[in-house]
Amino acid sequence: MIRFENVEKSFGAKRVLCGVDLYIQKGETVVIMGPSGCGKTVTIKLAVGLVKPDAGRIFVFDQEITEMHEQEFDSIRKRIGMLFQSGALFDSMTVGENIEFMLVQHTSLTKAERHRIVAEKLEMVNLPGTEDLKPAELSGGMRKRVGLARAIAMDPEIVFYDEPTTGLDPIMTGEINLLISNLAHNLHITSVVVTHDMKSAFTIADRIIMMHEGRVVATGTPEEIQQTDNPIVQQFIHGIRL
Amino acid sequence: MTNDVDNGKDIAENEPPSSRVLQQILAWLSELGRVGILLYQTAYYLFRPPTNYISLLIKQLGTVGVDSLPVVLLTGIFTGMVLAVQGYHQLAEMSASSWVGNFVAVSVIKELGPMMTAFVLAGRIGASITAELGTMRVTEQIDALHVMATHPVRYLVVPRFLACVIMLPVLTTFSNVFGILGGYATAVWLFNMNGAYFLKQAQLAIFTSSVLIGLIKAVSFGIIIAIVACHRGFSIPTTGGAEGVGKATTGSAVQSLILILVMDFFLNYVLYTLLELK
Repeated sequence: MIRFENVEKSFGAKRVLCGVDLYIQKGETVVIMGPSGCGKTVTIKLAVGLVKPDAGRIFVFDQEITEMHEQEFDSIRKRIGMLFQSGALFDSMTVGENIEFMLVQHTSLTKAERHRIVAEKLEMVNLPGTEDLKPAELSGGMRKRVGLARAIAMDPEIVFYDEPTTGLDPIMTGEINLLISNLAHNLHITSVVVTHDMKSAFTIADRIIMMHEGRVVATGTPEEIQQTDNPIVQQFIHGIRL
Repeated sequence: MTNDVDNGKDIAENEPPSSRVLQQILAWLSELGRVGILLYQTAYYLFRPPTNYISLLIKQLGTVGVDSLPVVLLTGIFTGMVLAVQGYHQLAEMSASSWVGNFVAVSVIKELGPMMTAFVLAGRIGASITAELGTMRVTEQIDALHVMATHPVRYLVVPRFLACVIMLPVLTTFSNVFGILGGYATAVWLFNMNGAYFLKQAQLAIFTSSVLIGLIKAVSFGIIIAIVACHRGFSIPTTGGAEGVGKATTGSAVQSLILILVMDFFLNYVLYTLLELK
């Protein structure tokens, strides 16, 4: 469903990705894990077209997006959702308006139908009845959940999560992890989660991709990753320099 | 790492001045290119507006037009009053103080009405647009628009651009009227001039072409304010933070003011000198 072939990306003199190869299959929940600055977020930004690669090829839904025109890419973007690290809610809009944004822009649904979908998505993220609140009135965890409701408003086939549990308390972290797992299993969504939260990664992942200094250094199931001899992975898991 | 940075600094400091000037010129050209691309994208999406375009446009028309009206009127009135005071004394030295109406009307309609309105809007609206878009940029809201298959130029720039282009001439017209009224009030109440004579003089000085030229200027200034403000807002890096937004907001207002003056000169030269319009 998603494939990176020898992808490279630099910002000025800083090389962020140095030949990344990875694939993500339909329906799986993949966690991209690694220390800060290893290129995790850039990897998903490349997949959604927010950043263009310097070299290599990227495929989403088996279509090469590397040189794809913006309008053509939009047809792919309508099939994906993304939860940003900060939630990235439009602060001039209410919660309901945020969630129905894509429905207004890209569908001909009536107002009543849109409101029904908004209520349904808010129910799914355990925030029923919050349609009229403004993002400024929400807590950090609520913003993430509204961001998630917005990401799934168009019933996407892939959802990208950028650090979904960063800055949340352990209870809210558990709740977000449960939501990600439930959405993946109930709606058969392919989930790509970027995080450096080990506990979350081992809880939700079908497969973990470990990145370090712009390269993929290990791939495997959570059990395989925990048992690997790779010193970089062990160092990251145990939080110590070996 | 520290050595690398130090070496980089040394290299930059040891660069010959000509190289630095060249880099600065290239940076300006690059910025000009980005402004050109934004202008092209705006023109492209003008004919492919977002779905809820009318409500977005009405909101912006309110912000740019209705909300700016009090300050534009105040600026217009006092501009006319100052012109009347200055004109009365200057013209009195040539025994021509009865021409104050003519002086005020020509100055306001041809130059100060459009200019002062544009200055007010560059400070009030231009800075506000840059701050809003800049904040959206650093909080990833613009990235979110992209990911939701909505081009930010289409959704954010087009309504603001149109609102500025539509509202600048409207506000300029109000400013012109209130400028002349301000001059009239000053001339009549402070200098005991005949009100009807003042208005007659003003009427004789105003040609249809003068009004149209003032409106052409207003439209041009509207384009400058919108494009500069949006460009500066979009140019803030995601990591720019509050400091980046602050700098961009100030830069937007200053850049708009300078470009308005430059554009005003060229329009005056072309319209009054080359085309010899009145």
